[in-house]
Amino acid sequence: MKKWILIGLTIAALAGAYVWFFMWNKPHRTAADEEAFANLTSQALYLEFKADEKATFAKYKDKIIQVSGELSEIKQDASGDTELVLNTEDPMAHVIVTLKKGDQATNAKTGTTIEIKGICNGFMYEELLETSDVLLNQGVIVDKTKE
Amino acid sequence: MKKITFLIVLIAAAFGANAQKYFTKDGSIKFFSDAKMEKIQATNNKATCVVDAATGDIQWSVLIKGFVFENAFMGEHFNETYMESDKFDKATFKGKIENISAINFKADGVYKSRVSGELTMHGVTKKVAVDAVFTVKGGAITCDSKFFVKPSDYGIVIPGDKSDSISNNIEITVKGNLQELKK
Repeated sequence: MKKWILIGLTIAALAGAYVWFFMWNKPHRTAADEEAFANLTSQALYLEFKADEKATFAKYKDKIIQVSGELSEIKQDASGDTELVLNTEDPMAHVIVTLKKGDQATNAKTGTTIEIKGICNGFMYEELLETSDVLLNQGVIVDKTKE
Repeated sequence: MKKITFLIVLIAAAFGANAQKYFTKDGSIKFFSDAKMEKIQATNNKATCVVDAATGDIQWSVLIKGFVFENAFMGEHFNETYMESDKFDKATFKGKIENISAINFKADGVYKSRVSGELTMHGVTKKVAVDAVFTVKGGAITCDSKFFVKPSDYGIVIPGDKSDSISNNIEITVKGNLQELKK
């Protein structure tokens, strides 16, 4: 009888450790794994935030957004991740996508139109700079030829 | 006459140098929670900082959802349970560099400063004063600061059974490479 209790407890402990291990090591959610919730141009995305930041944040937060626009800059952030800056029709407004860890944009060319998916983090309007940025992260380049 | 012209040029130059704003949109904000059972760390590299060299006004802002954790699980808890980032999407700091007149952004040097102002996060605004260092070297300007924030001051409740995992004294490290704003 005691033996069975011991076996039962061991199985329960192993199951617990197994669940805990998977929760702990759950991978980061990236735009690579999911279909886009919305597909629009950088200009359209910016205009939605500009018109009503609160409602647009509620609509797009944590969602995968696929954006197309003219690539103005490719940068590396302080953690070494690649950042792609898309123009809008307003020179003071951009959509900035940080690619998921390890992804690079070696074939992307500034001045050309590019399509990227990313998770929407929100909108930053800086009064002192008069700039607006829509920020997406964990992104991937949609057009595989431009990776 | 020459003296007056010289004086005018000097004053204009002084104003010109001081009316400048400096900024970054790629500032990094890290936080580190060092509790008995766990160490938790997260980074956000899309913080914005603006410094007005004339007035000493300084602003930082960051989107809460942009913090990246070592594991996804921690990030979910941070956003949903503690920061409630669906409701409170940003953290901002608005303050003043107390000794701005002692900082010359055009001359190499390491300038220690005190920055005081208001930190807003999780919908709560508190007065804070922190030490910061501005380093000017060959035209490059960096702003560094490290300070501690108590989640309980901002209405963030850490349940008793989590107190071994999450510290109520979070270390915040701020770094920005500032550039001149050209208009």
